[in-house]
Amino acid sequence: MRLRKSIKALVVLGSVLAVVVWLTAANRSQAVVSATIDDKPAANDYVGSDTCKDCHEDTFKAYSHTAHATLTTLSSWKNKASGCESCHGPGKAHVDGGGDKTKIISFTNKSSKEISETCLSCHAGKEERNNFRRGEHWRNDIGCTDCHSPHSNKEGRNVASSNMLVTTANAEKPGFSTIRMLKANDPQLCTSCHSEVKSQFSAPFHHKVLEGAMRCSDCHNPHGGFELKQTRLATGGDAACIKCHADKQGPFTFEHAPVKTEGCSSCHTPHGSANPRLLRYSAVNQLCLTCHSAAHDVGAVEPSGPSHNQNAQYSNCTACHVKIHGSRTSPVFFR
Amino acid sequence: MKTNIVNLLRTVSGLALGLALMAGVVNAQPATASIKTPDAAKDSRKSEPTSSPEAKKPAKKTEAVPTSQSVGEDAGNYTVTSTIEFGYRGQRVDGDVNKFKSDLNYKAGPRLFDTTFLMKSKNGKGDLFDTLLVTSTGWGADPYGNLRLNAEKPKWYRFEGTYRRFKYYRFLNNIANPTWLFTPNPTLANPVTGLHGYNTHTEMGDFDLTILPKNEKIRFNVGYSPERYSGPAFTNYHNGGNDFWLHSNLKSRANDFRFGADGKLGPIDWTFVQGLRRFRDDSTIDGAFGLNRNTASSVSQLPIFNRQEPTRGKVDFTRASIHTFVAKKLDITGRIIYSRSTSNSLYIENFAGTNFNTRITGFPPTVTGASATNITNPSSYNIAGNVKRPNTVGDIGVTFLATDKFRVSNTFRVEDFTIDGVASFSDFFSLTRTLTGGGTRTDTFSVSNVNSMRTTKYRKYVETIEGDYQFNPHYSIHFGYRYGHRREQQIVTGFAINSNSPTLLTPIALCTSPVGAGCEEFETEANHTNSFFGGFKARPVKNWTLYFDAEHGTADNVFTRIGNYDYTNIRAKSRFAPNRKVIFNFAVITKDNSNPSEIAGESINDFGSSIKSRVFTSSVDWMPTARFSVNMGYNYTWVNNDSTIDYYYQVPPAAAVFHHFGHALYYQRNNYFYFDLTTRLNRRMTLYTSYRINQDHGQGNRLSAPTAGSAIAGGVVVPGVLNPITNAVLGGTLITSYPMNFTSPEARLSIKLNRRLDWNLGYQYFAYNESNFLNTFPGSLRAQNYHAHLPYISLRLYIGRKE
Repeated sequence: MRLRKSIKALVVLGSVLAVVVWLTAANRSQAVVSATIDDKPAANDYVGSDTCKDCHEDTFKAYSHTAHATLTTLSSWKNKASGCESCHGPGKAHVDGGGDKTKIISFTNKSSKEISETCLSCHAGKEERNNFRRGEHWRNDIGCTDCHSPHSNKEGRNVASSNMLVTTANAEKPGFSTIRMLKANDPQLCTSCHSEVKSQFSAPFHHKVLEGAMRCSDCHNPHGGFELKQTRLATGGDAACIKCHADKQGPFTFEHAPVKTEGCSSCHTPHGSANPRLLRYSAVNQLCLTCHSAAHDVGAVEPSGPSHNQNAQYSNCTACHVKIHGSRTSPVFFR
Repeated sequence: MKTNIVNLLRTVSGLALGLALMAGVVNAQPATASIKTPDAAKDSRKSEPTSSPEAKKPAKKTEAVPTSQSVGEDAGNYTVTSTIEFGYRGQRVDGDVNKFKSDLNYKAGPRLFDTTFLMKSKNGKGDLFDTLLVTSTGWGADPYGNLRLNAEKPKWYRFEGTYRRFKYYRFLNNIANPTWLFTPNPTLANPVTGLHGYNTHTEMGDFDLTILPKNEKIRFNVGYSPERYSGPAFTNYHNGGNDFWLHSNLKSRANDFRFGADGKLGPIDWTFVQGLRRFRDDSTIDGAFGLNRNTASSVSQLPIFNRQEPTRGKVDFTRASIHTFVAKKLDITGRIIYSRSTSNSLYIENFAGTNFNTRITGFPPTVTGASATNITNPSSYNIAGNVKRPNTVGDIGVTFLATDKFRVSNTFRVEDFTIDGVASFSDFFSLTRTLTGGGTRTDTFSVSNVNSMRTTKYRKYVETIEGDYQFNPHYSIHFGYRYGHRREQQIVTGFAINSNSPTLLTPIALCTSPVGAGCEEFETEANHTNSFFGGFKARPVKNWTLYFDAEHGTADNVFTRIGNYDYTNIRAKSRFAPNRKVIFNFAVITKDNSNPSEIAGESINDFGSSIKSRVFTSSVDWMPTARFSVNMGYNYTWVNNDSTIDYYYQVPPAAAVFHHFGHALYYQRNNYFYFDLTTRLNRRMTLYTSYRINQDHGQGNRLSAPTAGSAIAGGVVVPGVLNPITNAVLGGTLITSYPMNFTSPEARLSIKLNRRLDWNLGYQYFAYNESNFLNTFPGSLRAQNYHAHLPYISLRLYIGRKE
């Protein structure tokens, strides 16, 4: 069995390496990775953003109110390409060519990854984005401009909307997305693709994300990370949940090991549920018995009878095992 | 009565506010004509009688959509754009108020609906800040409010702050929380106990300051995150064969401090963070209310009860990471986190009463003629706890950009922690019993400072290799392989303190095999998981994008039966935007996990756990004109969990408790539908309507059959257990689900009074129905249905809004 797995792994690894070698050889001449201009252009190849404004007036107006436009005021950005040409490359040839689209970097037909490389040429280096090239979004070819609007032109009138659920920002009602140049506010933006969580966030018990009290990015790092599901870490190396549910952090003298080793989502559905406590089962005894049934896992002893009669009186495990996440005084979590 | 009066007063004050606002509207309307804004001027011209036939047809004018450039009010070097909405919300709840509060917890009263305030410097050269953004929602009568603040002057600093407040209420009476718990079987639920009820309050915040945020060389970071948790709650206590219902006052707080820096050193981006977390729990339990819901005279009562468990914990952690991008080809990221958590506690419990259960191990001494009933003299527990948990997490990720189309990545993680806990146990009991021949007898019993130790060691390695290839801007694929190895070890030594008279655990070497109760434990488990994953993104036509990814993995062991053993996850999504006005989304997500457990020779059908879910989701976002938009969608969630379990079941008055080898089944069949519709009725009026419904049919007609099955002759021998299981029954099912219907329509009419003011009138309705629950769980006394009406009226004030 193990041999078969090793062979499988070797075959996969070998195939990957072969493809790497082949592609590297085949593309040796392709030096440019990002959309930025790698061959350092001469200073007089740049025409300045004011020239761009002559033809792209609306875009320039929008852009001029963004953080991108104010970079020239920063000393750390002196002597660097700024303005439109920092992303689109030097514009002289484009201007001289009467607006020839082939003489300037255009992102219209570039892949999300190529566009992202342009953004990363400046925005990489922060811990938040260190793993972007290994993140779920990258893997699925979701790039920076799928969520961010680099020219940031928040439009729209503030119209009637829900009085309980947060709505996305607009020109008349700015929000976090305005200053982060996001296309929409955090929950709306994320749920536009991850629409499966909408129903969970509308269940009787749910984390108050649609209500605006929390954001998706409070628990997940949209820019990638080492953790599964791109979750953030709480203090130290603890799970994101611990940040708010501090009383579950421990350490406990008698730890319910799965809390730490398997994670909170083993027993809870984090986004929302009809089940109280966001449990994966509506009846807590079935959840517990699923593990505690002669499976002889680590510490998962089977409840002994007859005191664990599942008829009524003892069917709610946590009625007695109240400190189920961990106890400082009771090995069976009674106090 | 008092509630009625309060509600009446609230309604009256709400109406008064409404009338006042309407009066404001009446007064405000003529004023708008004198503002002479271009639109108003055109409107006034439209209303003027004219003789020209052309003039009777108002000119069709296009309305400019506001942009972040066209709005904002001048304030010196800044522009300000702001809105604030405040008003009053009424409320009427029919049905189960406790369930309504557990779900929503809205209250009637004045409310600050939401606010936003954005102040931006015009030229990026503000004095104190270039950008200041403050947003808030849900203050006043709302159960959860938040305030976010962002201020920055990119050259010098960036400050981000969040403050949140949650009011958590929980008082339920359902299958997940049966309140018939402490009444003799099979009496139905007591609807007033609200087992594990909570009425707590949490406040938390995150405040982070970055100095020199745009400096590439070095940036400094400091942060602070407080958390406060308090409020009354009910809990339970099972001790000495007795069950008590306790009232506790929860009170805990945590403070996180962090400081560090990040920057660039040559080609390396680096980050360093040092964090300090201090945690304290000063919750107490008093005996004044609700102790021991057992009402029979022979069971224990502890009218005097006090418990304190002051706990002090701390986590000191260090996190460092580096990142570099070598020759624009090799992206390398490394991170290491080391934390050391400690916790010290002192549990002190004092109690006195009557009839403490005499089954306490070793106490009281058997005395012929002594009554079982007793007076429980002042007695106590004293348990000191001391724990430490060093934890190390190390990660390294390498991505090689082989070509502009092909990338290959490798990620490796190691995680290691040890939890070392010691509890030092002491107790003291004193019982006075009546003797048959007359008189009383008092016995005492005590244990001092016996230690119980538990150590958990855990180590995990995960190695992931993956690649992605971009054929062209329209097609890309990714694929990878992940290997995981985990090892867990649990060591239990010292005394078994799960009884009132702790006994020393027998060293493993002296224990008979197989290991029985009363022995030290030294248990090690390990697992190896291999998984393959892959997927693609395809854009066959310009406006249609497909995403697909799948993962399949197998393990040779699991630590819990709900862990991943043999699993397959598939996700497919489609996004179709035929034009800029409409977007169609479809997605299917499936997850399958089968776990055969570890009992050799048993098939998955005989002793396994199977968890399956299917999610279908669809949505349409359509905005044909600036005056009309609709968002609607439908989700269907299907969940089937089937685990073979063994459980004990007795049907009174039968004395025997049968040990069943049956199934635990859980079902979810949830339909979710929603729409949000916004219509601009005219230049001044906008109508918003929405509807949301979650309808779960749960298990349908399936009913639990816990007593089903047939007796197994000779009992069952389970590996690791000394004695064969007698009274064994093969069969029986415990079925559960949560069939319910949760509906919430909402309507809101917004009337623009003038450039600065909107008047809003709204109504929201919530209906919750779990009547089907009663069909599937006949033991439930009543469904926790409710209807809630929440009308509101509000004003929204604008600064910087332009016509």
